[in-house]
Amino acid sequence: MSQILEKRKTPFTRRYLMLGILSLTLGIALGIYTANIPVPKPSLLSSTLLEPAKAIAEPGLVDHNNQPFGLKELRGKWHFVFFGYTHCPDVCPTTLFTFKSVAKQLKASPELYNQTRFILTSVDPERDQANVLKQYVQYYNPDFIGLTGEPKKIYNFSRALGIIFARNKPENKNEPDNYQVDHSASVLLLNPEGKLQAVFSAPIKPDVLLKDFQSIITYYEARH
Amino acid sequence: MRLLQTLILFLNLLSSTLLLADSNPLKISHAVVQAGPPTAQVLAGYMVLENTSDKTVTLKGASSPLFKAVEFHQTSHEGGMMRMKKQNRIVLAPHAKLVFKPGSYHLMLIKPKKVLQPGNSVAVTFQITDTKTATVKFTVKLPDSGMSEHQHHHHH
Repeated sequence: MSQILEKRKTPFTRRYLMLGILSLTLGIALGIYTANIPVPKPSLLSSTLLEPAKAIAEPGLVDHNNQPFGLKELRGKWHFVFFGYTHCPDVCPTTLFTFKSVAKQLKASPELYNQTRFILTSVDPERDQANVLKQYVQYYNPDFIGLTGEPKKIYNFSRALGIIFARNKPENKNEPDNYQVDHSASVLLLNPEGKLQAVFSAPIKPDVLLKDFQSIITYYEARH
Repeated sequence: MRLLQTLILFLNLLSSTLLLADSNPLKISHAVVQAGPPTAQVLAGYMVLENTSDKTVTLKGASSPLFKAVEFHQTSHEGGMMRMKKQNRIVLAPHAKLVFKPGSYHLMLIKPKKVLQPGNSVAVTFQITDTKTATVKFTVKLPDSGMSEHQHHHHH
């Protein structure tokens, strides 16, 4: 019995080895072939894809818990970034409600939800200290992140992402704390390398944002 | 003395009757205050204004007992930035309609005197001309729940 099995083993092993080599060769050939085929660009509804993604300098900001937040924290996950401030009644709450709605829909696929984070970066660090931001962003979603920091660093981070803002003078001299900040309302998408991958122009609708995000992820993963 | 009091009372009644007889030229509907974080120092109010008369209607101001101040603002997209501009008055041409909505005209409700929850009501009084006011009940809502269908409209 054992002799027969021994005899049969050799051709079988050889056959598997041949099959292995063949599939490996095919695999490599296919790999070389597909690497040379450009992945078709996704057709996006409301966003502009940046190719190549734009690397940014170290932001050096702090999060809503006063913890350092920079490139290290940005790596490994997708980040939606919006610039605003807590004394903004119209555009900022509207965008954060959009984020809230997108986050809620993303929760249906927990893996994707865990790969995605939402950030409000304050353009008004004087009034938006970490604790103020924390209460503000977490009203919309306990997982949302608020960023603040030194004005110069916020400015550099905004410029790196193509965002501009300008603080207005208070309308009433007796109320120096009552002022508005004009700011770009675009939403930025940073890829898991911490690079700017796409820009969403305002006004942004949750369904459109989600659809474009999924297209961008598919495209990104096909190329990485 | 009594005669004078009676006369004043009569005149008061007459004047309020006259005001009531003068139909309200301004229809305010879909009055919503967008819910926000409990710590928010400002909230936005949205509504639909309709001038149902043949005359121009001017809103000269607004106030609410639940807020330190109420202002008219307009968000506009200029030079890549969202700008908020305070509007001292809102002028409605005869039979004009103006929608206060996100990214456009809105009421800026400043410094709430208490934390407002979805479902709460906020009375806002509009100064329409030098003498006329209209008080409208705004409902605090989350944007997902849509806009209010019913409306409360009082004229004084």
